[in-house]
Amino acid sequence: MLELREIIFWIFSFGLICSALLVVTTRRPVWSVLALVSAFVCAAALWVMQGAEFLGLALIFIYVGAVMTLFLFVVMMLNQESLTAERLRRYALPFALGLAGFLLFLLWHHAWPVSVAASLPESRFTGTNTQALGRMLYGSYVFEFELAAFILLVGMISAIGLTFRGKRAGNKAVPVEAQLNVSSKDRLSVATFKDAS
Amino acid sequence: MNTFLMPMVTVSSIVFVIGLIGLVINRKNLIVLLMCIELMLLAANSNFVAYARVNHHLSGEVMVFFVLAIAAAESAIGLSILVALFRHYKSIDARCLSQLKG
Repeated sequence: MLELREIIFWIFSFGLICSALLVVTTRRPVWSVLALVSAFVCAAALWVMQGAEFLGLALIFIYVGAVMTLFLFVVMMLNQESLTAERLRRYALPFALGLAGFLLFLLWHHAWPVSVAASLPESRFTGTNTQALGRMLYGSYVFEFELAAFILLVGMISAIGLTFRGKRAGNKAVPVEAQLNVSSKDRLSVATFKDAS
Repeated sequence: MNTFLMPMVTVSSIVFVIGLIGLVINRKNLIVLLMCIELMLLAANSNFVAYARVNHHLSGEVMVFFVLAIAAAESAIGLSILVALFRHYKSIDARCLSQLKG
């Protein structure tokens, strides 16, 4: 008799695997993006079942909300409608299946019962998951946290730098340099009137 | 207490292998290649979450947090490279990128 938790777990695992297969096999990039969204939602449900509530919600907010929207924008902007069926090289599929079999073999024969908890910084499951994660992030891992923030900044700058092509012709934005170089003579002229009487 | 360790590891390894197969068989479309990389990262993150649960230690979840941050930066840069390539070659076929081939 299956427990309810197990039923939910297997439903979401099945959804995750099916949508991952759809991502890989479909010929239309938009379907592929939508299947990846579904895979992320299923994985977030699995993570919440494993007790990682904050990360599951962050996966939905960050990935489904931001990154997959970016993917969708790019797919629509590049307008690659269904690709013509590509011809696989002869060794591609056997190579992939062999690699997959090798990895699964490694995973099944080295199910690592390793406990590395003793060598890691101290942590306890106190409070909610979010509180404990926040204490670790701003405690033992604060340097890495700042490094991740810096890498995000670098990513933002490089994304802008790679896609920015200067102002287009006919842009109606205010020219800042002309605005700063203005002097009072250009804006204000003192008119003098002759005395009419 | 049922922690779902082995089912979780099995599912995530299957997803990882699907992403890997996708990298091999979709060699033309760069967007799908980026999405396969995202799938593989998702599988690795699921393993981190499962082992963090079993070891009663939050370091694995902190690692997932960092992987999410780095992966967001990676996909932003990858997509902007893709847009720049599309402007230059009018195509995102990976076979166009053979300028460095001798």
